[in-house]
Formats: sequence, structure tokens, C-alpha cells
Amino acid sequence: VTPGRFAAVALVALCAGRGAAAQALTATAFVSSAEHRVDAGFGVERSSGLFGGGRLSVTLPPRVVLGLAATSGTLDRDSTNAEERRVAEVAFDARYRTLPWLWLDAGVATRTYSASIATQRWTSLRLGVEARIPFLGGRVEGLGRLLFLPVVAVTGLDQPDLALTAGAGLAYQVGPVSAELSYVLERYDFPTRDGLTRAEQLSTLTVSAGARLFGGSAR
Amino acid sequence: VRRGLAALALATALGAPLTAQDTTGDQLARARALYEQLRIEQALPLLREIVAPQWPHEVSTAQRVEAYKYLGAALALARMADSAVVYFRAALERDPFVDLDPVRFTPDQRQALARARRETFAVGAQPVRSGPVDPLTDRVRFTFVTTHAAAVRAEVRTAGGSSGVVVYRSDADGVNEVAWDGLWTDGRLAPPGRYELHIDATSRLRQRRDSAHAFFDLRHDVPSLEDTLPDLAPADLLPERATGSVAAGEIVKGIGVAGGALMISGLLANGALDETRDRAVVVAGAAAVTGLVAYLVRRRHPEIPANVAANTRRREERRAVNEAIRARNAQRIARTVLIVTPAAGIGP
Repeated sequence: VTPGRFAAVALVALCAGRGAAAQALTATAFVSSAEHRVDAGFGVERSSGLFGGGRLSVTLPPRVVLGLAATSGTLDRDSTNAEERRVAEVAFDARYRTLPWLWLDAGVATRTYSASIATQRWTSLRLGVEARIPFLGGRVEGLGRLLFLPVVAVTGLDQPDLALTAGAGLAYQVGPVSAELSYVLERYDFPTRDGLTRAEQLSTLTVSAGARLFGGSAR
Repeated sequence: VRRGLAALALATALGAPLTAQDTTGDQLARARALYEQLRIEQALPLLREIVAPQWPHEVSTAQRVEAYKYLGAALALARMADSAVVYFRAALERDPFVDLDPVRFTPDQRQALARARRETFAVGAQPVRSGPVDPLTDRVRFTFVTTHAAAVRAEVRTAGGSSGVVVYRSDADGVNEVAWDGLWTDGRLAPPGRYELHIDATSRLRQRRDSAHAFFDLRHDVPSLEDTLPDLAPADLLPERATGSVAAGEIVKGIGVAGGALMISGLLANGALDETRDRAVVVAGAAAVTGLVAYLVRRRHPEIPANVAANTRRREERRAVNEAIRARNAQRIARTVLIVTPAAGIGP
């Protein structure tokens, strides 16, 4: 059972197991401008492209939100030493609100980079916090996110010494409709092997739009 | 011997008033005993002495009424009806409740008393019976009497007041009972205080009017009530309008988010990978503009809808709590028991 399948089953089970009246189901579509940089000891390889995807989230009042997201896209070569790749990811996350403006965030994600010569799978566990600072009494929120990835399993690579995801953005809410603009940076520093140090980074600028399909507040 | 005489003199001085009162009572008892033995000729002088102005001892109203009553009864037995009526009238004028027990008095005597009633017009009220009265199940009861047929208006007033609640307005003849539900003119229970049953009567037989009063005190026996909560003070409420510092805070937040985006692309990024900052700048710019717009909106519309709604909710909750308290108090007040005690005079 892959982490993605497990997450999907868990989300469906939770949706089915609780009374719909207490929940809110929100669907979000997003598009991201992504840039990937990797240096495996032979210079920085740069590639960029567009990702698209969707996310379903269930709010379990008063403090829990569960989310399942799927992303896919392509990375085109920006440097001659880079390769074109297709990217696909499934992620499940659970957030728990500890303060009106602070959430604990935990999740798992599995991502594949598919190139003509090989496919590389990344599976990670993410733990961190997200702050949501209200503007104008909550109609707009400023976002700050920092997650550490204590477990990252990458095909053919060692566990990175440092793996983190950080982001900042803005979320707008008008009734059941929401929109979000965010910048997210993923950084992976791998240990030195055979005198070569591998560093990898993915940055995305994401625009998303969501709608609460039923239930209470989408947040 | 001197000590004995002094003690006798002191005892005589201290005992004098008692002796005087007892003397009237004793004489009345002796006269009644003679009357009961039908020794009318011997009873009459004793009774006349009691009602005579020269009688040296104190005579209560009840004793005087008793003396007149037995004088009337004795004279009726002696077939001196006119004289009997005169004494019966004297008794009725002082106490309109005077009556003759049919078991102990003859029809001629009662006939003479009836005639005296027709010739005399008086109205009287008995002292109010003391005790608790539950207004839900019981009534405050008053007893009054007219010596003959009369138009009667009975009213409960505050002591010294000129108007109140009319409890009886009809013709009456003889002894009557009136019930009062304890409600005042505003439809609520009469407040605690001193009250007066005021009876005005106009004879149907003669051009005569008379009135009577009975004073009583009214108290409420109420279960203890809850106090309602005070209105919310400003300190209990959230500010409903943003201050200048709150508006400035919106700019600070915008700068904070913008700085966060730039810091991520700068400090958190791996310097060896020469991360571009274009994407972070987009978010930083949007955050700065959002902060500025939020600042301007705050300045133009300082109301804080969330706080207004929260305050409204708090006020509504407080109002609901007080409504519940008032409802419980109303239920307790509805269980109020009136405590009635007879009183004399006007002032409390």
C-alpha cells in the first residue's frame, strides 16, 4: 500500500464516518509555476514548468482539517545539463489548530520524477507549523509555513541531512470561495558521497481557487 | 405594726386600678348571674350603675355594650319593650354586631332587638383575621355588619389614603363577609404596608349614613429572589472600532508576510544553487499591497464586524440569562403568601 493510497482511503473513511452536518468539504484547484534546481557535483541543473492539481479538504470542527492533494506537471530544461521530466505527487496532510492563528501540520507525500532514462520516487513525512495572520478581521490571511521532513526516502539516494519546506502567502476568503497566492521553497541537502555533495531545491509560485462544497467555514 | 401598715398601703395603692377594673367586671358578672336567676329587679340597678356617668370605675366599650344589652334584655323580660329598645339601641350604636342567642333569649327579647336595629343605623367591621393567605388559593376575608338594610360600599385603601380597591358595592342587611384577592389597583399583589378596610353605608330605611374602619398590616412572604446580572461594562466588550494603531498594524502584517517570502528565498534557500527570487517577489509585492489596502480600508471603515458581532452575541447571552432569572423570580413571586395582621390607628 503506497502512502498516497493509504491517505485516500483514510480521507474517504473519515468523510464516511462522521456526520456530514458537522463537516465542511472544500475543493481547490491550483496551478503552480515551478523551478527545480539540483547540483549533484557537476554544476547546477535548472528546469522549470507548470504544475497543476487539485485538493480536497475536510474540516472536522472545531480544530481539524484533513486534506488530500494531487499534483502533476512537467519540468522543461532551462540548462543544457538538465533533463525534461514529468512530475506527479499525491500528498495527505492533517492540520490541527492549536491557537486561532496557529496550526500544527503533519503529512505524507509521494512524488515521482519521470525522465526518459529513469523514474525516481520521493516519499517524505512532513511535520511543522502554519501561521495564519488575519487582515481586515479575517477576510484576508497572511500565511507563513515551515515544515521539516524528518523522513525522506529517495530512490537511489541517501536520506538528506536537511530537508525542509517553507512558504509564505496570502489567502482571500469571500463567503464560500477562497483564493490563495503562495510561494513555497523545498530544500534538500544530501550527505556527501564519494566526494560529491548533492543539493536539490524546488520552488513554486502557486495560485489556487477553492470553493466550499457544503458545511461550515472552509478554514 | 408600722411595717405592716406600710405594706398594706403600698399593696392598696398598686392594686387600686386592678380593683377598679375588676369591680366593673365583677358587678357585670353579678348582674348577669342575677339575670340568669330571673332576679330582674336586683339585676337592673347593678346594670344601671355601670352605665351611669357617676360610676367611679373604668368601663370598657365591651363592658358597656354588655351592660346595655342585658339592660335591654332584662327590661324586655319585664315587658317594658320601649325601654328595652332604648338600651338595645345604645348597645347597637356602640357595637353593631350585638346579637341575642336564640337559645338563651326569648322571642320577645329578640323582637325588641330587631326593632332597635330598625330604629338605629350603624355599620361595623370586625378586626381582620390574622394569618397567612395564599392569593392563588385563598382570599383575605373581612366581616362587616349593618343594623338594617343599607347600600354598602367597602374599599381597601392604604392607611390614610382616599381611594383603593372596591371589594363590595351592593345592598346588605346584617352580617356579611367580603373576600379580597389581595390585588391592588395595578393588578399586582398589594405591596406590603398598612391598609384600611373602609366601609360606607347608607340606610335604606332612614336618611342616615355611617362608616366603619378596620386597619390591618400586610406583609409578603416571598421566597428569596435571584439578582439579575448587571449590564456589560465597556471592559467586558471588544472594541468595535479599530484605532489608528490597528490600521497601522495591517501594514506591519503585510510587510511581515512580504519579508517572510523574501527571507525564505534568501536565507532558507541553498546559496550554492543560486535560487532566483522572482516568485518570492511576486508574493512579497502582493503582501505589501494587501497590507496597504487593508490599512486604507481600516482608516475608512474602522468598524470591526467580528467584534460587533461578538459583542452583540454577548449582549444577547446576557439578556437571555437575565430573562431566565426574571422568569424564575416571577415564578417565585407568584408563590408569594400574604401575611395579614390586624392593626390599630393609621400610622405604621
